[in-house]
Amino acid sequence: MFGQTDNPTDQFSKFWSDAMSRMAGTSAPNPFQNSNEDVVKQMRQAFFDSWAKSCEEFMGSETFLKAMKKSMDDGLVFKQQVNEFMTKALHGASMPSRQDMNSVLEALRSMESRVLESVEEVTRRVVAVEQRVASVESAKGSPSGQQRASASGKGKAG
Amino acid sequence: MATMSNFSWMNQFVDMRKEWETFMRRLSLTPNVLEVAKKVRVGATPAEAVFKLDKLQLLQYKTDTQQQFSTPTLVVFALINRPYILDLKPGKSVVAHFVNQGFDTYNLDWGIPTDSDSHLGMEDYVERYYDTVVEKVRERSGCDKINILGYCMGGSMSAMYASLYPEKIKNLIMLAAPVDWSSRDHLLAKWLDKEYFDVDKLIDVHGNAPADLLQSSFELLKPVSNYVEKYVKFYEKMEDEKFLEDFFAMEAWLNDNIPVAGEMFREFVKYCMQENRLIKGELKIGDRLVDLKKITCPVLNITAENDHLVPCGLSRPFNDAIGSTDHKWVNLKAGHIGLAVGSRAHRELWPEATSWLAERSDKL
Repeated sequence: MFGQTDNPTDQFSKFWSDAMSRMAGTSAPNPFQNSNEDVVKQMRQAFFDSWAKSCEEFMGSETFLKAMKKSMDDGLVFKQQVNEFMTKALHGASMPSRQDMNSVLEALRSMESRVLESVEEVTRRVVAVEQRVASVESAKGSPSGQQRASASGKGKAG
Repeated sequence: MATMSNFSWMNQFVDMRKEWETFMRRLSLTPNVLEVAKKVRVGATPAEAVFKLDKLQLLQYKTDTQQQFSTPTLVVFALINRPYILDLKPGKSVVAHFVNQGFDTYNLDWGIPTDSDSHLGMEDYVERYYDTVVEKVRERSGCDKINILGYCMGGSMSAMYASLYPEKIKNLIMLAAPVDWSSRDHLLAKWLDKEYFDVDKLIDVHGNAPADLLQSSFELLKPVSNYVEKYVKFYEKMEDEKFLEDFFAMEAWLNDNIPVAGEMFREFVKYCMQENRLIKGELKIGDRLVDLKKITCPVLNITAENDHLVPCGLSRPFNDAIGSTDHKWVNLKAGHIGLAVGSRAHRELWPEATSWLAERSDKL
């Protein structure tokens, strides 16, 4: 509906004619068997349904999408200006701005990752040492290892 | 013809008088309504935080029910809104179904990101946080493989995780989880189209995706329902205390919006929602490619027929994209939130889902 025409009068009249036809259709099956309250509720629901349908069509239309983009762009430009103003004002008052806090956080994160990398490296080395020790110990435990160990012991003693 | 009198002017006056009396009666109930609103509590099942890392915490649900399965179940919610929607109140708790069935159940609460978390991206959330939590659950349960229930964006993240670490997943339940954004005919896809939505600019200026922007966008997807019909229904049912309790519990959750970490939002919108890389097999997390074909565990994919946020078409293709041969798709006549709190879901869906999971989990 809204994508085809940009004329708001056409859109408005189409919405109303759709709503009215839906509302008129609600009590059509047997209007005299329903109470007033039921009929009114059905008509109200039909109006809401029609309203929701036209809202969905409108919010998916090119017109709305362009307007949404423009309002978001404008809002972001304004927010950016506020951010810049606040940064200047805070710097003027010798106070840290959000940018400064972000820089500190970045430095911290970089330190954290360096520390973690170092810890991982140390862990790798410890694991390697443990594996070596374990292999030496298992070699000592085996008969050939015992022979090697006693031989090396003799050698040392000699 | 006697019924024609229904439309007589006299009856119109009688109706108007009745309506006026109803209005005055409901108006006099305002203090009671406020009392119910004040008393409203969310969260039905007792839980304990068993692990914390940065802002996130891992909750383990405590129960008197005898544990029946050794395979634990981890519930992963979206980064938008809070996870207690899955345990909103007694009778409306998804978690309770799992706990009562005898599952050791955990919930991953991502926490509330602040400006200092704006740098957190998909790699941090999926590779670091998600994996650390899964490791923790594995360690606590002593099981190599765990069950995962991912809801909405949490489901998409679970799909990513399951394809990176298939060896750690026993069963996967996807709940209204979008994976294929190729269809552009629903409202959210139109709004997030590259041509109209510059996510880079938004995150560069705001740092995180602002909570109020997210909330108003979601509400605007169904403006008549959220801004008009909801309050009409509230007025009509404000004499029903049960309705009021449910209404305020839902309102408490709906208004408890949180921001989304900037990088994560940027990457999710850009790579998933705009470029549709997940289903195409082109999404990279860190330096690893997310290949959905690597998911070989049993999968239960649940969608909602009237979901305006994640229409079926966004979730349904998941079953065809995975490598698993044991997969099932369930489509419930409900809305996005109705899957978690709707009475039909609690009557039909969750007993079926927990039975499906029970059949595929290791018994104690």
